[in-house]
This record gives sequence, structure tokens and C-alpha cells, in this order.
Amino acid sequence: MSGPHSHIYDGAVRLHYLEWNPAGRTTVILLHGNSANAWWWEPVARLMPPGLRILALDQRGHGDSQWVRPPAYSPLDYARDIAAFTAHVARQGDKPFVVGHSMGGISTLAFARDHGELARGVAAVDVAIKSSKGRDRYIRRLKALPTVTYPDLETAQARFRLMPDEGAVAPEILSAIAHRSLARTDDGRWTLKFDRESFFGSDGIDVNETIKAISIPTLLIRAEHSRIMTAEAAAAARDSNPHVRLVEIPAAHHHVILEDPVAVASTLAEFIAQIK
Amino acid sequence: MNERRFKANGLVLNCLDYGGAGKPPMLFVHGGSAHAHWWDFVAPAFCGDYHALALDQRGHGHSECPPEWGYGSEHYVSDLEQVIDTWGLGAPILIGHSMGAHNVLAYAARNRRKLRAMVAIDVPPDYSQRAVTFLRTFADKPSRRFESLEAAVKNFRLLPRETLARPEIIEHMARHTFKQLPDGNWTHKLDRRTLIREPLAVWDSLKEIHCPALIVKVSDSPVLSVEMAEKMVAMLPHGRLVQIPDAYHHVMLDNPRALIAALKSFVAELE
Repeated sequence: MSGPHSHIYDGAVRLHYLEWNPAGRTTVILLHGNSANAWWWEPVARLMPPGLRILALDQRGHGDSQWVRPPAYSPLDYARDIAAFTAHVARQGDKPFVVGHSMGGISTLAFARDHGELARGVAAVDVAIKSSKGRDRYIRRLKALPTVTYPDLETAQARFRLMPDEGAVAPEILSAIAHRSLARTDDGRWTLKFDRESFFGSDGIDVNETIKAISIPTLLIRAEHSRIMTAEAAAAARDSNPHVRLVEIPAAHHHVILEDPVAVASTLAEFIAQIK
Repeated sequence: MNERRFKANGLVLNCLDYGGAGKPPMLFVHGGSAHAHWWDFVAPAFCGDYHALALDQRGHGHSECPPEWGYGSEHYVSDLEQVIDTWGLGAPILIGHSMGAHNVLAYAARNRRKLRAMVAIDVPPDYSQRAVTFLRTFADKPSRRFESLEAAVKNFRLLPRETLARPEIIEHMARHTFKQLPDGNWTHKLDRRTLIREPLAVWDSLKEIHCPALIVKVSDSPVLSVEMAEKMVAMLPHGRLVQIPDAYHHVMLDNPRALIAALKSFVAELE
């Protein structure tokens, strides 16, 4: 149960991914949110049951995967990557599960709608289901932020913050993520390791309508104190489609995969065990 | 006390032999993170009528560890099957505690003819995924090291830690729990990968257990509720329930006399 190991999938876009437990019988693919990377899933991945092979993908423009020019970072672009990647890593008789957090969850839902035949089931963790003018304004503001650089690694690590910056994430988890999220710039300074063009400017698709059109088992996981996935929108999404189940993780915030990895791992493990 | 070695799935497994050779076999199966000596204050009481043995399960005590992780119910049950198939002693009474009891239930569900009777002490038929995941958080943490056996014994704690056992009983367990490393330090014998579990769900197989089966509920342990114990007994074709007072989860340490009495009255009716 050591790992993870790093691999490259040389598809239409060059993608880096992490693999835990290659001998696992069932493959689970984990997708991070916007401006994050595969390592965000590490706390959850190492708690998943021993029968599962766990893959965490650096999505295009993130982590150690390729930046795309001209910029192409809509949920549908990510969903196409997920489909190609899923088909690439799936083994004989092993249809994977696909799980995404935040923006990765939205892409996962788009993937489930458009390429559902490739996966046994999907889970979306704390995704924005209803867009609003306020939310679009927030995302456009992110897009307009200047790229900040720091003179050295220590300063950059110390300045590392979650967006939104909330929840009781263990300091050692946060510093491990920070360590994996920084890169050197050409002039020797340090900055966050993702393509700023990946701020798309909106959620990109109608998530509510996307969920309605899914026909494979789907789990929505909501963090109780999330302001991004509201309780009402989550319940309405569940009621809109018989394939959809909803689990709420108590006392957690948007970055629940870092804040309560035990709860997320056990919720996913139960979902997978019920379906496989 | 004698030790016996059995080979199962390529691993050498250690077994304590408390005596009574030639009599019907009774095999005690310890819980997770424990070892065969957990039964030292219970098993000897049965040597008069039974051949009493206690197994170190793989990764525990003096038994070998698999090279790759292999600590699911399937692995433990397969070990039990191979030991019992090859030991030449016939069908045993199996008595398990905690994870060992869960393994006994899983064994019983699929080995009807190789079982005289079974006892499951303080375990629910299905582990919660949350409990399994929580246990896993400990698997990656390195075992503590101690400069001396005395320091290790002083720091020994049960898991779960609540106990009413006399200090000398706890110390006896502790003395059998640690091993000396080549560098002179002392550490737990346990393979920490045993904390990565993969338990089978046994609820639905309870109805397949056709031998006499005793479910033991321990008064002060939250692990198995009375309601759950009663549901288990209702599912078992020949199930019975007994409650042991004045004990937490580690009932064989906390109240060995009451446990012995309950086991004796159960086996007396098998005749």
C-alpha cells in the first residue's frame, strides 16, 4: 500500500497522474478542482480500501500536466480528457469509478452525461449546482487576479491559502499540498503551479440540467457548511434523477477532501461497494 | 506451554497448545492487534475436556506476514480453513473475539462440516466503513520504539483501551506483545498493515451457519449492542445469546471467570 507512483498519459493533451495500489481490482479515478492538482486527493487516496486501484489525474493546465494553447478549459474540455483517460487506464473487466471535487466534480458530471458508458458510477464532491450572477462575478474576479510570485519557497509555502479559505484542515495536510502546488518561474521566483488561463470565467455548463441527463449511478457529496453547493440545490438535484444519491458530510466546508478525508474515503468506499 | 506451527497459504502460523491432546479440539482466535496469549487466562480451563489451542493469526504474534498486504477477511478465513484442513484434529469448536470473531463467523458460513460449534465475542456482523477507514489512518504511522522492554510494557495500551483487568494480566499481555529489534530497541510485533482491513459483510450469511452458535455480548462494551446481538441470534439457525457482566471489550482479560463459566455452560449442552 505504498505509493503513489507518477505516470504520464500521452494523449491529445499530455497528462500526469498518480497511482496508488496498482494491484487493486477496481479502478477509481480522482479529479481535483480548479487551481488544485492530483496531490489534493492524497489524504483520501491513502485511506481507500485495499481492493481499489486509485488514480489521481492532474487535469490539463494543472499540476504536471500540459497547458493548452489556445486556452481550452471548459468543463467539456476536461470531460473529453477524462473520457480519453478513463478508456486508457481501464483494464479488461474493470469499468472505473470517476470522482471529482469542485470544478473536477462539474467536469465529472459532464463526463457522466456524455461518456457514461465508460464508467461504473461517478461521484461529485461539493460542486456548484446553480450558477448565479454573484458566482459568475466571483469566478471572473479570480480570472482577473494578477499572478503573484514569491522570492523563495518558504515565503511561497507560508502564503499558501485555500480558496475559499475556510474549514479545519490539518496543518500537515495543508503544508503537504502547498509543497506540491508550487513551481519556479523563469526568473527564479516561486508561484502556484497552474495555468491562470484555466479560470474559465463561469461554471461553463448548466450543472442542474447536466445532472438530470445522467443515466449511471451518481453520488453527490455535500459538505454541511458549504456555500458553494447549497443544501436546497443539492436536494433538488437528487430529486431530479433516480440515479442520483446525496450524502452530506457534517461539520465540513468546501475543501472537505482535505478537512475530513476519513469521511470522504468511507463515503466513497460505501458507494463503490454497493455498486460493484 | 507448547507451541505448534502450521503452514497456511505459504505462511508459517504459530499456535499455542494449552494441552488436552487427543480430546476434541477447541481453537481460540484473537482480535485485531492482539495475539494468541490473549487467551492465557481462559483456554487452560478447558484442557480437561478439550484440546485447547490458540492461533496467532497472520501478521500477529509469532506468525509470519505476507510479503504483500493480505489482511482481508478472505485471507484470515483461508488461513483458518487450511490450518483446520491439515491439522488432523477434526472439526473444532471455534471461539473468536472481535476481528477474530468476525473471521469465525465468515469461516462458519462456508465450512459447515468442519465446525462443531462456534462462539463470537463482542463483534457486529458488519463493520462500518467509517470504522475501517478510521483504523486505516493508523496504518501508515510508524510503530513506537522503546529503549527497553520495561519502557515498552509501561507504555502498553489495549485497543480500545478501556479495561477492568488486573494490572498483572495487562502486564502479561504486554510482555508477549513486543519484540527486540536488531538495534536493541523494542517495538510491537504487529505488522501495521493489519490495520488496513477488508472485512466481508457477514449479515446475510448468518442464516447459513447451521452449527450451535453462541453470541457473547459484553456489558460495558459499545462494540456490539444488545439489539444487534439479539438480531444476530434471531438470524442464526441455532443461535444463543449470553451477556457477560463487569467487562469492557477485552472480556477475557477483564472478567475471565465469567467468560469461562459462559463458555462451559455452552459447550456442556453440545454433548
